[in-house]
Amino acid sequence: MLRFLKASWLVLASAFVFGLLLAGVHASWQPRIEANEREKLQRGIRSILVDADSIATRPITLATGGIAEQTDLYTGFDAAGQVVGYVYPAEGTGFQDKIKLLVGVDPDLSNYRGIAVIFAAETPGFGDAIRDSAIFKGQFIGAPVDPPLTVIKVGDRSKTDDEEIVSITGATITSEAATTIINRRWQQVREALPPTAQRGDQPQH
Amino acid sequence: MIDKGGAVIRRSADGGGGGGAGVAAAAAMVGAGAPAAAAIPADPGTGRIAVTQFVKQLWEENPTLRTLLGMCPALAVTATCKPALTMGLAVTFVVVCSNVMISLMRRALAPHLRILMFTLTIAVFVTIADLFLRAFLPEMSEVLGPFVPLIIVNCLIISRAESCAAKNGAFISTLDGFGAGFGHALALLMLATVREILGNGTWFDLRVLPSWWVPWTVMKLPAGAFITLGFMLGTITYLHTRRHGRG
Repeated sequence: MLRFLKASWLVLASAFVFGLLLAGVHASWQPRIEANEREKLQRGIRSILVDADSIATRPITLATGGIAEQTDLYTGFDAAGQVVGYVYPAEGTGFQDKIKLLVGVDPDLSNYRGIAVIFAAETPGFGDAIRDSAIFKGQFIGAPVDPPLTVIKVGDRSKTDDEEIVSITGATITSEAATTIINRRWQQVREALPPTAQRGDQPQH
Repeated sequence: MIDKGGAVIRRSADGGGGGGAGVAAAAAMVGAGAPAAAAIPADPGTGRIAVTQFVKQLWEENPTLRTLLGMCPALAVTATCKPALTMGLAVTFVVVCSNVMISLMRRALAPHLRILMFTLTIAVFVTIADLFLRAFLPEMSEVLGPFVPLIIVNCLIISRAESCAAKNGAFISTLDGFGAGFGHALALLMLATVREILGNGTWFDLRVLPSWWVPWTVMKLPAGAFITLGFMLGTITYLHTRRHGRG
């Protein structure tokens, strides 16, 4: 035992000291890291609900294949307190890594209001374009929630009010993955969304 | 220092046999680097040695372009210049801090535990660098993605720990660390400049090529990285050989 300690005292002492150092650094910076995450989320929501004055957050429970899942629903209100749209997170597998999106629907739950990409690590120059391409993301603005969106390879990208999404050239799999995520999430979320008559959410300022 | 250098060559050869591929590679690099260290004239004073190490690491023995260490981030994050610079500075921070820490512990390092101690120290500072990026530069952290934690296995840092920090005092190790880190950052920036200008028409996100330039998309992808790196290495090795003869 003593021989063991004599040989490894430096490892044990360093591990202890480094552990303290890391714990201290983590404790002092974790609030900032969490604030950054929240800010990214808010920016995504604001990019979808551009006319919202304030956003309210409410946890909702979805029954995803028998397992209850808790997620957050973001409701956008205009200056008069009217609902301008709902935003909810959706995620799934992309081509190279997972894709995390925010999806917006309009108040009468008939059309999408747009999407925002929270996380995507797809092929640079191709699949990665779902993050910044206003043309690709713009196809979801005004697209109907029913029937489910389909991805086609060749088409008119400026037609945004039909259920056909034209994929990014050279990034078919990523485009299909994003669309599948949106379609699947809609089926899971539609039960939990409030109908237009209900105004249970209060705007937070 | 020359004697110690000789002794370390034998020790690291043994350590290379026992460890994994990465360790063997580091030990082989050390074996190659040690003869150069042995060429330092006897007792020129700590300051002179420190500055010599700094300058050598910066260009003549540039870790990425001459001894071919730290290639993984060199290819992965150099599509544009901003992530390349951020990665270069992160690696500099880690290599300097780990060099200082290792050189302060050098007399207590048991030979059979030193790789473990190196890795432990490097991992701590990489974690601090990663937390710093996530707290203060979140967009950069997202762009660099998994490559910041991967700095832990960057052979460059463990090679500097083994061949310099474990044998020299804190001041020499610090300047060696800065030289290696800045040399690596310089290599990354050279590669990123070519890739960004040709592949995007921008430099540090400022447009430098006129709008009629059709971007070479291959430069954004791994193929372009390898081709550019190949040309860079060829040119630099040719210039070095012309000046110094073979080797």
